[in-house]
Amino acid sequence: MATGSALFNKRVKKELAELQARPPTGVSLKSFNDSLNCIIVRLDCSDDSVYKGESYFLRVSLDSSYPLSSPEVVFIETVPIHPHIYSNGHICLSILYDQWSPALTVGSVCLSILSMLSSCTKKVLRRICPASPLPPAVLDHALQLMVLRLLSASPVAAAVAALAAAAAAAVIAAPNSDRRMLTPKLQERPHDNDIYVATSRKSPKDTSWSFHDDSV
Amino acid sequence: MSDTQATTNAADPAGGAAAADARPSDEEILRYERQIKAGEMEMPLVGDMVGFQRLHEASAQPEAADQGLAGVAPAQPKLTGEYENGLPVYMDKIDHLKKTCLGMRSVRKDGNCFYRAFGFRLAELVWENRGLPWHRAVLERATATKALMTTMGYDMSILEDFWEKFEEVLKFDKEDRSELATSFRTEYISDTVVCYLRLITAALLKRDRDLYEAFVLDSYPTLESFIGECVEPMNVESDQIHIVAMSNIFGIDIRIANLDSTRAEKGINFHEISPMEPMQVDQSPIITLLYRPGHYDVLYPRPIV
Repeated sequence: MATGSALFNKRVKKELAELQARPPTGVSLKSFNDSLNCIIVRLDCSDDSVYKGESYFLRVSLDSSYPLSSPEVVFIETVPIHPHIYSNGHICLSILYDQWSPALTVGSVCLSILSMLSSCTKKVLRRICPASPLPPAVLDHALQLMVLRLLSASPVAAAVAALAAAAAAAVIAAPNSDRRMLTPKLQERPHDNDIYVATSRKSPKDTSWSFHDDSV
Repeated sequence: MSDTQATTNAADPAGGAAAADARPSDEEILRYERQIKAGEMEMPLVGDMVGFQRLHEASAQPEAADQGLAGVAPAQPKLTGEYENGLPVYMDKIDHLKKTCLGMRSVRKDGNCFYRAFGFRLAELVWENRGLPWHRAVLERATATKALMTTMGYDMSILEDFWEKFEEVLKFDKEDRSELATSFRTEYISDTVVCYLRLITAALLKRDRDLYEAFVLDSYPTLESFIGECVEPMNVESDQIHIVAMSNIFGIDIRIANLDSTRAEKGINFHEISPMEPMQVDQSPIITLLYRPGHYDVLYPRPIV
């Protein structure tokens, strides 16, 4: 009778072979260790996304209860700027946590992350792409709204609001050309990025995530 | 702007006054959650069958672990103990259970209880009915789930291990039935079976979308989002729709005794779920479960003479 670890080995070997033979578009297996519990995957962003020409690396860590429990997936090296990706590489995506199902695979999870990057395109392009800046008045208004919203949220958010206010002041004070550079940073990372990165555990699986926004 | 992602309230970088009424940190929440779950997680995934007679004494003293398997200390559910100071309606129902049932078998409260209770009892019934027409018929239905999965887009080459474990418990053929419980107490076997049952539920909901969709669209934007949130992931509690799906897949009647505060006309009220395509064989067994709000256990009714 197969043991739990035999189940793990059989499954992961099968997945790796599949990932090597028939990788989803934009996803490629870069390396894995002998014990099969650490896999590095490369994502090549599609040409019709704002991440055109960019490549990123994911580290997929599997524990012995995989595939019954979810893999730990984080960006390593360069972390893409995205509203659901924290600057420490942690990713806010439900299937990596509460909604993991053993019917998913390392390949399908990586594909979901790649498509999360791709689907961000239009939103970013329309709202804050440096190539087509919004009129300054609209930007100022958006920033003020954001600061107000943060101030009214919670005591903890007040700290973020203070940071945002300072940044907003910098943007408003800056000449138009600088404004373009400052704005995307403020909006593309998750709004609670600084606090999360400062206080989160090493593994994203130790965070209790709540998922509100499935638009990107 | 995107909505909040992580509930990160750990340290207050501003420090000072705000800290007093700040919400607990992620770490604190997870620690508390683990603390609450710890007791339950020590319970066996599937307990031993215990008779109601043994639970009759209201004193609910810990019973000696004089039955069951060496090295396994099964949880002894103490219904009477639990409900000792409960409303009369509970006591009436428990009395009725004692008269009409041989006993019950507790299942760990981890969100998988319905699937675990169902899977265990199904395997047990298959074993009990060896050599009877129903035995062959139900194994055929079980085998057909592989094709159902493939048709609905699941990759069986990846999920083969899950089917194999399920098949293994269905084909259990040892003389000593307690070894079946041992299998279901082994986490990876037990969870793999639960997982397979969840996935075939998902496949059936997708295949018979017209039938099931109406029941979920009130609360979920699509059937797929319901499946993604409430069917495929482990540790998510089951509802009527999951039970109906299991009944339909295996062509088996499921009766659920409701041990809740609702008044029963006679003894205890049963919720009965019948398959749309019942098995066309004589003496089809029935799966009987005990429901208490938020939890299912296996119930063993007395055979009708």
